[in-house]
Amino acid sequence: MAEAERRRAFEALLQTHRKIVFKVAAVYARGEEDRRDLAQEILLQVWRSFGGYDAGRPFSTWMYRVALNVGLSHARRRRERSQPLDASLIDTLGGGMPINEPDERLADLARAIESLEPLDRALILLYLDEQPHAEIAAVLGIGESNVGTRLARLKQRLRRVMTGTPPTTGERDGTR
Amino acid sequence: MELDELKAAWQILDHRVSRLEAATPARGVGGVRAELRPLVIGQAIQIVAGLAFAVGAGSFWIDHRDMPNLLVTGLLLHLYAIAMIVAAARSLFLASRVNEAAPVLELQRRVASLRAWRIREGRWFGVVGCFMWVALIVWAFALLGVDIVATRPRFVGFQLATAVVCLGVYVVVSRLARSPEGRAVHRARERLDEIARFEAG
Repeated sequence: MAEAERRRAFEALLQTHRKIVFKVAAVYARGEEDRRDLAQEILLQVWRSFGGYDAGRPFSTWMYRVALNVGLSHARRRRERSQPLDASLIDTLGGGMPINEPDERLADLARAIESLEPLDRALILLYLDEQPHAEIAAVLGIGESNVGTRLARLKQRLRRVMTGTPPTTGERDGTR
Repeated sequence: MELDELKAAWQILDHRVSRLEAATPARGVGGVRAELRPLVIGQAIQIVAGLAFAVGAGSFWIDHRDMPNLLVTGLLLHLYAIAMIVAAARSLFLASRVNEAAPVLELQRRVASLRAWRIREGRWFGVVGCFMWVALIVWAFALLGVDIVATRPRFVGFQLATAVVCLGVYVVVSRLARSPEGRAVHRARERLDEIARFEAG
């Protein structure tokens, strides 16, 4: 494929799926500047890896993988396991200018995601994005049958976080 | 807040994100592979240095087969050089398996195994390195035509005693949780635990 053609194909696919970049950045970055840096990092990596993309497979699966892998490594580098989704940044996602008035629901969403470990954040992001179990399994590299089980446990944990119920012994020990 | 409300909040985020303009040109280069680039360069240099070292040490012990002190020294250095090459080659192999388009869990596992290997390798070279410089001194003197083991055995004995002290210090420091190695070990364990916890659901 010629370079110009490749670029056009990339831009067309990116246009359709670019929300993935910003959602992953919102989940794994801290603060406005960090979010922008991460979004750029993801875009750059998506472009760099595009040569290896198999056009016979869904672009969204491939892009989720790249974006989440970059997001996870970014979060690890910054050691931000406890502060991923900053509610204030969500209100300024449009380049430093507020898009909308602050929303309490987004702050709650931030707090809920903040309580999760990086890999669980990937799972909840895919769930909230209403991806089918087969897609979640392909992105994360787990069995399709496991997705439902893990999601059920994760939702249970989130429900407890949101209602302020203390975790079970297993959860505290990290065995569940 | 219930899960349905969480979904509704996510829809708000989705709506806001859809208004975004394309990102400005990248300011930084990131990703796991970019993070690994210094490692890859370092390991390539280690292979070249190891090859040169292996050739030098190999020809040294072949030339001194009739002098047991120097033969053993040369063989030890030769083995060390081969270990340098093998360790760097394994690191490069593990780094080559890191691909951002791989399924998330697979990539995380590969990165974790690369880090765990780097820590094990670092420890091994740390322990052996405490003694290897004694062999290097013997080699350096031999290149000047002096068999230091035969002519100054007490000097060599003192160097070996120093190496034992060095090993003791290395072991103590590496076990301290706040040392760079202690932190690296802790982070690697944390990463593996995190993957295990996720796999356990």
